[in-house]
Amino acid sequence: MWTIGVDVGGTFTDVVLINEDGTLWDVQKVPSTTHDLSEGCQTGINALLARQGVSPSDVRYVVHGTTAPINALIQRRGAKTALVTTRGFRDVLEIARQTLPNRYDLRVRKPDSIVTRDLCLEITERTLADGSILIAADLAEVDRIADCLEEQGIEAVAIGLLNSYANDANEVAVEQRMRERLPHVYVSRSSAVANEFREYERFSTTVVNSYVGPATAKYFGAFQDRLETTGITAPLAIFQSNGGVNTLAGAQARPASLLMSGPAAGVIACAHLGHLTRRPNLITLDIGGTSCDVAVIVDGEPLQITSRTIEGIPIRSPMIDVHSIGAGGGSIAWIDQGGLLRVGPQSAGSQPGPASYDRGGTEATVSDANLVLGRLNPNAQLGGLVSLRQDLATQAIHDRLSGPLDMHVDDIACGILDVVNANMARAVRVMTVERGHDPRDFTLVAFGGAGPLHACDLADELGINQVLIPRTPGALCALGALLADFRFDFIQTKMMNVNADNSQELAAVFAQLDDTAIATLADIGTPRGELEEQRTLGMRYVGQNYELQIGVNGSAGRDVVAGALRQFHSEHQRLYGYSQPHAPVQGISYRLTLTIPSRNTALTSVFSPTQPVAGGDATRPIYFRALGGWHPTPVVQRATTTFTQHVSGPLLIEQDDTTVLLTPDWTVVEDEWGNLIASRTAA
Amino acid sequence: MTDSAIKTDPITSEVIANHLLGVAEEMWAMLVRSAYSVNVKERFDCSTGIFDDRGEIISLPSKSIPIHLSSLDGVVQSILVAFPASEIAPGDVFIANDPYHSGGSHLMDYTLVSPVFDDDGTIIAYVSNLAHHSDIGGRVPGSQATDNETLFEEGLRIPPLRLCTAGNLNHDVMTLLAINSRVPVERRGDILAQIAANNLGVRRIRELANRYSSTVLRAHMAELLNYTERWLRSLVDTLPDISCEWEDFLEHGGISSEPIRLHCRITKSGRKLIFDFSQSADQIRGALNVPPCGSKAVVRCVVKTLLDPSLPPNGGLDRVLEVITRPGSVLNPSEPAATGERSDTCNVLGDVIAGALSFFVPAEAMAMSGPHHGWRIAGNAPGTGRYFIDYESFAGALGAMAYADGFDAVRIWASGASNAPMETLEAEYPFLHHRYELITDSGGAGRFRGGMGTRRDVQVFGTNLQATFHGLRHQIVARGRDGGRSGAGGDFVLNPDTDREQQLPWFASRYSIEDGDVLSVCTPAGGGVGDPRERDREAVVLDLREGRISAQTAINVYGLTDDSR
Repeated sequence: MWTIGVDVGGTFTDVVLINEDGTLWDVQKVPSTTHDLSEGCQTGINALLARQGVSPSDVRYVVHGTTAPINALIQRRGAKTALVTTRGFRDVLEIARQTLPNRYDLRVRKPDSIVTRDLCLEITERTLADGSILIAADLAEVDRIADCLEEQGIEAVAIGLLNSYANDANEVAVEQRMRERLPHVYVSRSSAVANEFREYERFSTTVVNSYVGPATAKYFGAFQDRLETTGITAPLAIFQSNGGVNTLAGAQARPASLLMSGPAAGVIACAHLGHLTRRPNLITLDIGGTSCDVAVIVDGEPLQITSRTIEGIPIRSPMIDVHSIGAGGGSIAWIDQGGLLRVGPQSAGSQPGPASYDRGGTEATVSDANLVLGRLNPNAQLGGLVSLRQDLATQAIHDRLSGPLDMHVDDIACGILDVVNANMARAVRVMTVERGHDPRDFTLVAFGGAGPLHACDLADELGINQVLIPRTPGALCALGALLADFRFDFIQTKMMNVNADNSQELAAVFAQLDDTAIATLADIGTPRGELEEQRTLGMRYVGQNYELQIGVNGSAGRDVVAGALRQFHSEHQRLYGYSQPHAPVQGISYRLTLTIPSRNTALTSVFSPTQPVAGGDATRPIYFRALGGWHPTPVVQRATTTFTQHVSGPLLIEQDDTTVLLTPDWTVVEDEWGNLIASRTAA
Repeated sequence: MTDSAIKTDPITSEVIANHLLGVAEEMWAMLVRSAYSVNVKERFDCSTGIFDDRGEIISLPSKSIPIHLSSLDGVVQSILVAFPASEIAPGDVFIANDPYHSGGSHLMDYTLVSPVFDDDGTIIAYVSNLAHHSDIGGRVPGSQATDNETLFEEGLRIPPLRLCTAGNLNHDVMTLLAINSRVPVERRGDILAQIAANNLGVRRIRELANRYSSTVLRAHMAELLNYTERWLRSLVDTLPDISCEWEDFLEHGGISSEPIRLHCRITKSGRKLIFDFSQSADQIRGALNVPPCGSKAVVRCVVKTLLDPSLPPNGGLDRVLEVITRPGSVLNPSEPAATGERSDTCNVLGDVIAGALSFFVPAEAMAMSGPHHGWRIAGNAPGTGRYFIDYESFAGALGAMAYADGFDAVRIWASGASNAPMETLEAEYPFLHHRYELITDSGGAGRFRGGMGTRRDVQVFGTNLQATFHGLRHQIVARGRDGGRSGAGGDFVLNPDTDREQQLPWFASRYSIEDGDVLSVCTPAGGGVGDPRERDREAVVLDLREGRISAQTAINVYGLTDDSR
C-alpha cells in the first residue's frame, strides 16, 4: 500500500509518494497554481502515480500540509464573521491588552479587525470563575441575534463567553441553538477551540477559527474532489501546527490548529532524520527567499508552545515552536540613520528580486552578496531565470553601500553576510538559550533554498560543531507530513492545588478528559486501543501565572503526584535558577494527547532525484575572510558525486534545489541515508 | 590596551547590539514567567535594561516601560556611587527605590542591579530590572495615593543596599522587605523572580565577554552610545532654529485647590535640544510630584515617538537632549515630597512636551491624550477572609494625529502596563465584572477623531473593603487641535445606573465600600484634530454603524446628512 504527502508552498507544490514497506519513495515538484491550489496538487499526484505505476486504489491515505487557513488570515479573505459574547463585554477584542501596537511608532496601526464592532453582539448570561452558572444563557436572545445575522449574510459565528473555560454549559447551549437556527453558517465556540483562561486570547483564537473556517472547508472540499477525479478513494488527513495529523473532520472543526501547518512539517521531517541518524538534539534551519524559520528538537521531540501571535492576533493552540524572522536570500541591505549596516526585514521578494536577477531591482540583497563572493553559481537556472548577473550585484552594493561605509565591495558583501548571519543566530538563540538550551549541544539541520549556503557560517557563529544537510532539502515539508503521527490534544483548565492528598480530584479531571476523548474518537471511528497516550499537567507555584508542563504517567495516584511535584521543583530550578520545595503548587491545565504512530517511519531508502546543475565549474574563486580573501575553490555536483570519504573545505556542492557551502575548517561525509554530515575540524 | 585603542566597526556593533537586546529580552521573559503578583505576571508592570560600567543605559528592550527608565537609570547611578568597584564582588545583587537617596522615581519600583565581572575581575557592565510592587506598606493598601503628603506615607524607603552577597541571598533583608508589605508572599515571590532575571543577565553578558573579550565588548558599548548620539544629532540638524513652548494643567493636586501648571520650552541650541521646565508650578503637598529623572524619561520617549521611532533608547540620547527643572518645583521636588503618582503627571507632561515639539515637526502634531486611571481595591475575601490587594490601571486613549485617528483604549507616552484579564481577576479576587467597553462619543470629534476611553464596572465582595483611586483629566480634559474637539473627561462612580448611584471624586484614598458595591471607572479620551465637518464621510458612517459615535453626534457635530449616509 502507498501513502501520499502534499505540501503547497508559495512557489512550488511538492508531492511525495511512499511505499509503506519503506522500500521506495519519490518526489514530484510542480509549480503552485495560485488560482486553485488543488489543481497543482492533482497534477503532482497524477505524475507520481504514473511514474511509479501505482494504482489510485492502492493509496491508503493522503496527508496534506495546508496554507489555506493562514493565507485566508493574512490576506483577510476569510468569512464575514460575528462574535456572540457576554453582555457588557463586546469590546474585549478591541481593547485587547490596552497597549499600542508599537510603543513608539504611531504609524503602526492595530491589525485590521476580523470582526467589526457592530458584529460583536451581546447576550444575557454569566458563568463565574468557579464554574457555577449565575445566569443561564437567554436563548430567546440567541434567536433574535440569529435572525439578525441571517439578514446580514453572516457566514461564520464565534461564541466567546466569560469564564466558559471553567464551565462550557452556556456556550454549548448557545452553540446548539445557533447551529439549529443557522444550519449553513460555520459556528465555533471558545471552550471547544481554546479551552484555557484569559478571555482576550481565547476569544481572539475563536474568532480566527470561525473566520478561516469556511475558506478552509471550501479548499478541503476542492482537494477531495480532485482526489476523487484521480480515482483515489482513500481518506484525506490534515497536518496540524502541533506536528500531528488529524482527520479531515477534526481539522475542519478547528482550523485555528492548522495555522502553522506549513513550517511545522519540515520540523517533523528533521525529527525523523534525527531519529534515523541517532541525533536526538537538533536545531532546524529553513532559509528561503524572505524568511528564516528556526525550530528546536530536544531528545527527539520538537519543542512545542501553546500560544503565539500571528499577524498581530494572539492564537492559543498547541503548535511546534517555529520562530520566523525576515531574513533570507532576498533580504535587503541598507544603512540606517546612525550609519550602521542593517539587513532586512524588507525583502526584494521574487519581484523585482535581488539586483542580480536583472528584473529591475537595484537594492543589494543577501543573494547579491553571496553571488559577489562567488558562493552562488551565476549560470544556475533558478526558478526560470537564465542566469544571475554578477555585475548588477556588484553595482548595487557599490552604489547603495560603499559610499556611506567607505569600504571595498568585497568587504561590504562579507559584512552583509555577517549581519544577516547574526540576525539568524539571534533567532536561533531565541529558540535555544532563551529556553535554557545550549546550541553547542545540537546538530544544525539546514534546508530550504539558502539554508545549506549559510549553515557553516551560522554554526561557527553559534559554536555548533556539526551540520546535517538532508538529501532533498526542498521536499522536506511534504515528507514531514507523511512521517507525522495522528495526534489529538484535549485540554482542560481547572485550578487546583497539587499534593498527594488530592490525587483523587486530579485523577477525576483526567478521567473527564478521557470521556471527552472517547466521545470525539467515537465520532471519527478510531478504536481507542490503537492509541498511545500522554498526559501532562501545567503546574506553577501558587501565585504564579505561567505553568511548566510536567508529564504525568499513569493514573494520578499518590506516588504519581509526588513524582510530578518533584519534577516540577527541579524543572523550576533548572529554568529559573530557584525553587521553593515547601511552597504550595497549583495545577492549571490538564492535557491528554493521543497519538496513532505513523506507519511510514520504516522509510530508510536513499533516494537521489537531483539533476546536475548546468554550467557548473570545476573550480571557482570564492572569497573567504578566514583565508585572507579570494581562494580557488573546488565545485562539485551533488548528483554525480559520492562523499564516502571525508572531504575538507573549502568546497562548494551544487544541486538543483540548493547550494552547499563548506567553509575552511569543515569536512563533509555522506551517511548511509544520503545526508551530508559536515563537521568542524578546528575549535 | 585602552578602550579607545580598539577599532570598532559598524558590523560588529550591530551584532553586539542585537546580542545585548536579546539578553535584556530574555531577562524580561524570565521575570514575567516566574513572578507572583498580578501586576507583574499579567500586567507586565516591569522592565529590564543593560548598562555599561559607567552606568549609562545601553540596551532597553521594547517591552520595557519608558517611565521605568527613570528609576533604572537613577538607581544604577546611585549604586555606582554608594559601592565603589573595589567593594563589589561577583554575585552581589543590589536593591534600591528611594527618589532622594537612590535615584528612584517612586518607591513602588524596586530596582535590582547586578554587576557583571569579566574573568580578570573587572566590571564590564551592570544588568538591572525593575518591578512595580503592588504594596510596600505605607498609609494605604497599594501604597500609592494622590493625597499622600510625604514619602513616609508611601511605603518602605530603601537606600542602595546588598540583597545578595557573592551569590547568597541576605535573608535578613528579604525578611525586612517582605514584612513591610501587606501581602508578604507576593513580595517575596516577585523579588525572587527579579533576582533570577538578573542572574540570567549576568551569565549571558559574561558569555558575550568571553566570546569577544571584555575590552572589545566595552569598546562597542561605547560605540553604541556614540552611534545613537550621531543619529539624533543628524535629526536635530534638520530642525528649525526656534524656541517654542506649551503648557497644560493638572487638576488641583492632592491637598491644594489650584490647578497645577506644567510648562515646557524647547530651544534648539547648536546641535542640541534644550527642554526647560522651570516655569512649571511649585511642588505640591500630594503625590503628583515628579523627580527630575521622570521628566528626562518622558522627554526621551516623546522625542523618539515624534522624531524617529527607531532611535535606540540608550544613553546616547542624553548627550543631545538637555533637561532643565527648577528645584522646588513639581518636576524637581525637595525631600520628602511624595512622588507615588508621578506617572499621572508624566502622562500630561508627555502632551506638553509633544505640544512644544510639534512646532519643530508640524506633520507630527497631535491633540492631547487621555491618561490612565488607577485603583487599588483591598479587603478580606468572603469565606476565607484572605486579605487581598488589587492594583490596576485602566488605559485612556491617544489624541488624534495630524494624519490619523487616535488609538482607542491604549496607554500613552511613557506609561505602558497592560490590563489584567478579567478571568484572572475573578479567579484571584472576589470580583464580578459587569462591563468593559469603549465609551460611545468619548473620542474628541475632528477630521481625525481622538481615541475612545474605556469603562470598567466591577462588583466587589468581602469585608473591610477599601478603594484608593486616582486619575487626571476629569475637568481639565484633553484638548483638540486645529478645530478638533476635546476628548471626554474621566469619571469614577459608585453603583452606577442604580438608585444608589453616587458620583465619586477624581481621587480618594481608603474609600470604604460595602459588600456587593459596584465600582465604575471611565477613562478620559483623546482630543480630535481638525474640523469634524471635514471628516471623511465614509469614516463618519462607519463610526456611526460601529457605535463609536451616536446618531446625534453624527448629525450635530459631524454634520452628517441623509445624502452622505
